[in-house]
Amino acid sequence: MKAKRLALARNPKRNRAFVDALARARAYARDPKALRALFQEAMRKTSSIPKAPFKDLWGYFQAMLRLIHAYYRGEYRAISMTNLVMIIGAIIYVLNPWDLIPDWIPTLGFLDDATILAFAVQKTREALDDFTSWETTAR
Amino acid sequence: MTKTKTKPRPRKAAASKKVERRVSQPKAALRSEAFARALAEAKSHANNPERLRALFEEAARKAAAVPREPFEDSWPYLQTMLRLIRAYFRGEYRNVSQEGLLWIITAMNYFVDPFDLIPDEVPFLGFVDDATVMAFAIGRTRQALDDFMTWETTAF
Repeated sequence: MKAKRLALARNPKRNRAFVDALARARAYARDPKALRALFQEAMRKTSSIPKAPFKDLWGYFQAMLRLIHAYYRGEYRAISMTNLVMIIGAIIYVLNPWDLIPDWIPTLGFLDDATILAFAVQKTREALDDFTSWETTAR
Repeated sequence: MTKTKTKPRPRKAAASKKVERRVSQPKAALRSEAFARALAEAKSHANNPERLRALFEEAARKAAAVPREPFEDSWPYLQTMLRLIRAYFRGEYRNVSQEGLLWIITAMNYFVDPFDLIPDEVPFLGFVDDATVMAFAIGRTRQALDDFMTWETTAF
């Protein structure tokens, strides 16, 4: 199981569901209405997603959600398109129940989501940290 | 044959090693005078919105200026503590236990104190002790912080 997870972690870009999520994310990034719909879907689902598989990354996932909320409202725009697409892609993937390991499979269902989230956080950590600093200084 | 039996079991060895590591790892920051001071002050801050506001503003300003690296994965939780304190003194969010609030304020007090165990101006090391205190406070309040973040995204 660990080996499989590590293999996935090495190759998030071979994960078909994530590649699809990134493709959708590119369209979402330019469409505030689509982003709002995604955020509202996340609002409904976020309390039913188990936190345990995400460990310390849960905080970053929530920061991603607040970031797209501030983005589609036009409050916060200080983020590159590349980072924004990666963040939206990760959110789409986590919310999608039919990904690599379907989310309803007990204990394993969110392992692939955690892997994708870790990959996305690694790529966008600085942008997310900049955003959380903005939240506490500018609001 | 008896020799193989007397061989220490790897499981036991691993367990004792773990204990050893925990004992030998000095959490000096948690035993420091600065930490005791931060905790004592937290008790008087907790029910005073004005003091909390001042603490929030000072800590937010400082968080925007200090290096993030020493805090590693604690960083987003540090920011969450700040937002929680702000929502608390504004009266928007009160769903946190008195004990949880106390640890959060203690961590913030320690963070804003420039003359803690390792003074903050010491290059590279100045925030290592702050990170230790932060990790300790997060360990005690993770559930409260996660609940707060869930509240943030569902209450918009």
